[in-house]
Amino acid sequence: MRLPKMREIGEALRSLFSRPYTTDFPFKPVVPPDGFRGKPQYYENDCVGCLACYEVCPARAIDYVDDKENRTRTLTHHQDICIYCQQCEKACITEKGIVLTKEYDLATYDRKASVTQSKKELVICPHCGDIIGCLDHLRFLAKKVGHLLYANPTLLLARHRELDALEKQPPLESPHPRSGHLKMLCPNCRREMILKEQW
Amino acid sequence: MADRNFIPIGPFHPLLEEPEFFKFYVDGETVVDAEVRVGYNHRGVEKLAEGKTYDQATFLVERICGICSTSHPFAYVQAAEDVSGIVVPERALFIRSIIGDLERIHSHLLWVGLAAHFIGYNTVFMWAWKYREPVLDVFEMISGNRNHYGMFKVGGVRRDINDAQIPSLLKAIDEIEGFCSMLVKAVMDDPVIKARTKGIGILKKQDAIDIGVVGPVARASGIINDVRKDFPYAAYDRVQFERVVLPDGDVFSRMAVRLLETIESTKIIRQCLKQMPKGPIDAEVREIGIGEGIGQHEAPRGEVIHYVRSNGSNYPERHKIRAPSFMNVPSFKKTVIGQSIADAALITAAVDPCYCCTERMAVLDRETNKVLLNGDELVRLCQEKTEKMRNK
Repeated sequence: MRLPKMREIGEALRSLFSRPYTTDFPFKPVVPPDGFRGKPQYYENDCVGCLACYEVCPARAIDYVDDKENRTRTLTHHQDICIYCQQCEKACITEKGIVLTKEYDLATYDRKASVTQSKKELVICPHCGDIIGCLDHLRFLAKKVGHLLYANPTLLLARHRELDALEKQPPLESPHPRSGHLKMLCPNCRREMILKEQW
Repeated sequence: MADRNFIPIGPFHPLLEEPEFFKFYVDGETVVDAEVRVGYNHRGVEKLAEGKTYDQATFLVERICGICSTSHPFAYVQAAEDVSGIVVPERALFIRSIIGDLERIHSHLLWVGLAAHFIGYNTVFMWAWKYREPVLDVFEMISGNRNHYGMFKVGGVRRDINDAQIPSLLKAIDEIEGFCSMLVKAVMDDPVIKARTKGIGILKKQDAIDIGVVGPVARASGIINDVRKDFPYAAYDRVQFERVVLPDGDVFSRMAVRLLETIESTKIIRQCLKQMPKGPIDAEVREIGIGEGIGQHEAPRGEVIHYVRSNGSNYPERHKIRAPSFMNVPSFKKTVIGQSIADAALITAAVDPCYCCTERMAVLDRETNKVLLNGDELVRLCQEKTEKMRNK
């Protein structure tokens, strides 16, 4: 019953004369392979604040706050809820706004510190005060649609910063037919303005 | 029942460390009756799935189980595809089969390691887990994560296996097959393991049919049952492999079935990698139509079924999950009775129950319990028995 078996002896000898199978992890960093899904990171220069990542996130780890007073939209990614599925990176319209890094050592004592944020400038409709979108998003769309942007004054104005249309405009009492044309209006107000001018 | 002692095990499985509750009524050292209670780990996954889109729900069902994390999305995406008859590209089917069978290898190795540890045979435990590590490395290479691969989507897979990876994958599979065949021989010839598991916890074929057990537990009881062959899906009808069926129904057979299946799985993966056609990896899914769909998958623990009812919106109207352990857990009633306490915990572990998969409903009972032995003591008892046998 206690007769040893040769192949297990071989295995045991091999183990005896080799290094321990485990890695020296805390002392030697482990290099993750290519395509490893680590901590997601927002890159503010490439993020346009379009909320595509917010829409697809299965764990609802991404939320956003719109501050109409200061005209900022803050996208926050919470690592403690994240499941590292890479859907945000795949849905990102610029493909570089949020990217999964290879970072995996994410233990922290402070839960509030485990976030990555992207702050974007908002464009507010001067008439109704609704949100039109992020300035960078409108510019991104303007570049994407090419010459078609001349059909859409909001995109056109976003493209042409020199028109200073983005400074604080006096609130419009009503979408004035003439001057309303070259204003960044939300879709509802623009519809109203065009209808009033036509009829 | 008043004059009989009972031993509560749980609500934490001593071996698999998962919440469930067994009540063993004992007469001296022999178990004379058993009660099983589940429902400690209910997470409401089915209801959560109704609040997620079809695409998001694959990630949710993946997190039902940590060990066999691909089996649930596998069945789920097939159910969603069944609703509106989506045709999945060939290459995606092969990748799905590769992922499904890699997972079978690592899940079976994990179980063998745990069972050996429970017997008090820590060498096998170390070896099995050591050789499970290369499988996880392969997963990391393919999917970017050791577990929760996130590879499945309705209509295909999310990541491709590129051609540069295939030679290194084939090499890794050869190594894994070498380890597995060594482990199979080492475990199956071992006198101590034989003495502890042969003839223990026998589930007769008729009992197995009556209870309706699935997966390795059924195959160890002589029932020829494997969804991969019975209702071929993914790429399983394009590869050759054997169903491992053993007639005895004891713990040893279940161990043997699992170990031999790892070798069959390496064969499947190798064939899939070689036959994989070129082409797209996912079909464009515009919408899920109105209707019902069922998806089956032979998970490491048995057949898992997902049912999805769609009302044409982005969210499933109803999502029902039947995990394999739900069928396998009631077999304790037949296997444990008449065995000694030291074997009881091993027998309950031998079906490889996965409670986090099974907790679809809660069965409540209000009886109070008196603790005679707790889980740790049971493990100690089981290990001591092996020690005694060794020293004989």
